[in-house]
Amino acid sequence: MGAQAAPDRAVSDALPTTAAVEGPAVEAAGLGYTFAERAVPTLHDVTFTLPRGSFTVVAGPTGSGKSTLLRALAGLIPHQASGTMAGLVQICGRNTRTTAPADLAPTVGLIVQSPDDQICTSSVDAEIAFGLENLALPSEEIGRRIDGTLQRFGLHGFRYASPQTLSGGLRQRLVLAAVAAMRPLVLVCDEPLSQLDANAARSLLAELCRLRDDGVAIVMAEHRLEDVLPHADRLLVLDAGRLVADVVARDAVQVSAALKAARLEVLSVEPVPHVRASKNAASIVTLADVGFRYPTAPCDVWTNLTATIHDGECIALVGPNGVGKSTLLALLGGALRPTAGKITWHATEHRVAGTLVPQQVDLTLFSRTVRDELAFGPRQTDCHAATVAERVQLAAATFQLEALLDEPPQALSRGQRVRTALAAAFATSPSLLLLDEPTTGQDGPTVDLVMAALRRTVGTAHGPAAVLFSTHHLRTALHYADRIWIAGRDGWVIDADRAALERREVPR
Amino acid sequence: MNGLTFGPDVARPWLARLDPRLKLAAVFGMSVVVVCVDDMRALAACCAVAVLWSTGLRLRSRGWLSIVGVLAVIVWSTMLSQGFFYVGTPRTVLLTIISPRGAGEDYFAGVVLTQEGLVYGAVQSLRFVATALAGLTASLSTGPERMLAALAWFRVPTALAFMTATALRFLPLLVEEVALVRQARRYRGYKFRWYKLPQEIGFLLPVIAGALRKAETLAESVTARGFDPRRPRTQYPPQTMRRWERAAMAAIGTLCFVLIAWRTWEAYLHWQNSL
Repeated sequence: MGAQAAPDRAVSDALPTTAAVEGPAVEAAGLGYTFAERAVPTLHDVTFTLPRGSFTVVAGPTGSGKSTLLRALAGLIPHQASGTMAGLVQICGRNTRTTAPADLAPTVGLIVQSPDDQICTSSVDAEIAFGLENLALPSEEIGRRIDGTLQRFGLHGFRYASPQTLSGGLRQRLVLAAVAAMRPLVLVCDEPLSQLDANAARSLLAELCRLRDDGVAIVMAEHRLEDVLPHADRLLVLDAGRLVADVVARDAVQVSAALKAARLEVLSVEPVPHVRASKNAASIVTLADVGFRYPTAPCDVWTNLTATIHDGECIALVGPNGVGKSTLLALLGGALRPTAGKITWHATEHRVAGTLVPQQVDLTLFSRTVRDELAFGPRQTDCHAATVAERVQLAAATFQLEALLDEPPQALSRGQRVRTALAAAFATSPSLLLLDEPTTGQDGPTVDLVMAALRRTVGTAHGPAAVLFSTHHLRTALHYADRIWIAGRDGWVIDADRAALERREVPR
Repeated sequence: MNGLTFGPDVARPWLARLDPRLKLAAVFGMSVVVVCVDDMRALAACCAVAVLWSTGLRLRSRGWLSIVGVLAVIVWSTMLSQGFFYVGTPRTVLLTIISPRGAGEDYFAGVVLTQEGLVYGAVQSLRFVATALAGLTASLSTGPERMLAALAWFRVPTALAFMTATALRFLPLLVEEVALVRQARRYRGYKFRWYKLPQEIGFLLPVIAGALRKAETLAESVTARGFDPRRPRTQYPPQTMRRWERAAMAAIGTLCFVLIAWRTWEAYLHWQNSL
């Protein structure tokens, strides 16, 4: 292979050593960025300095400019963007404006939300090798680093495994390992925890803290502040592209004030008032000894699952990654058929049985405008034009989409797309609305908006008769659900009343 | 899950161990042979070799069904279209839909199914099936990183090689996403009807939009990991080719050279005779 020729770049140049850097790890001075064809800057006059071996959390509402800031710190802006950058970013003394991203790669690493969008090879060792090959390191050195990295990140048992066979938590750890193998001095992470359950998130945070202890400066944007703030040293809060707070992360008073300044609230524990569905409420669906096993899987995902969902109920399904939450939702949605037992739907007039909104909400948006998207479901059920229009208006009002009705759904922001997908499912007025991780990647206010809207309308004439949603976010479950199904590894579920959970009376 | 995936995991050991450069050479060799050969039996033999080679894949039944289904549709449509619209002579009519009529400038050849057209369609189909199956086997059984290295060895520009190798990585995901979009429509009460076929294309919009977003994220990720098509890369582990693999490469190269030379010589003689 031609590329095997010895590279011009010396290995020592490619890998800045700890001693080589004496100044701050990250320095942003008057940083601004305006996307092409936009009049308002996404980032405006952001200035801060981060030392080496620090852990900084970047918080802010959806669309506040967090991801743009991280891409500027990773050196992708201005090189891989068509907008206009103002000010200066220096990573370990290297100006990102004059340094190509490939030259910055040994100094700063980037991790984004979805591991699946970053993994580009077919085995764990090849994924770790990819960045090292780009640095043109000799094969022997790459081999040594792979061994060390696999050992350090607990991946040595998966060396030749396909990344697709790993759990979500392990895949995200692999992405971190692949970047860490390049020995960066700054690690930029854009919501790396959003798709992880509590255990996987804890494990990834522990790895990040170890890197911080080794002198790496960690900069992380995250909505799950209650998980990351205990590990962080600094909190930067962005709002509308401006840095509105730069505080010590462990100072609860300062943190609370900073989050309020950006209209963020993470510490509320007051559950929304609701009326528990009566024991005599009509049954919507009954699961009787339901079991399921994928054709090539060695064991069942679910066994002997028995439960009834009643009219007016809002149920949260929680449990670790890979436990089968999505599978259960797909069973209830009719996408999968149980391999044992029976799911019985009880007749509900004029309603679609179960409508599922999957995690990949973007795949459910196929219409030209938000209005068409919301009208799609009602049109399939032979509704009159007036009824369709009425349902569209109601769904738009419930999820605050009135101003966006004529916009193309795929051009909306992530939060707006999630709301559109939920509103489209809502407009079909199903018996059971099934939501697979509706809170992923959403800031607190957006989660509250969506869940409160569902809570208000569940069991009403125009809303879904009942809602079942899966989440890793326990606060959301405790806040909005009146029953919580806790899924375990062996195909069982604890069906807990929220009030019982609050009294710590979890049935066994 | 559609049952279609990629990488060494879906290949039997003998196919997984095969050097990806030899696999690419085999695909190239197969395409040269099927283009140079016109005889139906020889093309059928090529197909048989490709089918035999594809047994090195360990796909789930749904994966095989997807492949066979796509190939069957292509064979059927190629044969039928050639059967009806073949313009060569002689033409043995098997079925008349609209009879030929008129004369001179008003002559209309009609719509008829001809035996020669079907045979011609079959020849083209065999060419396609042999090449597609060989290419698919090579692609599905090779990880993107090994494919990237093999393409680079053949001096394919790094940017193009990376795009090709990455497409392999994401192709199964795209297929899965199409299935998810169809499912999402069903959840909202949609029932497929043949008269709604044109609408189906519009439903690919989220898949395309998603692919663009994924491509952007991947581009950022690999750039942040130092990938730059203009710069040299090393490779881990270095590519090593076994002796018999080198011999096979040489044999394929020689075969391709001989076939191309033979067909070029034939074309030259034909041109000479026509003068």
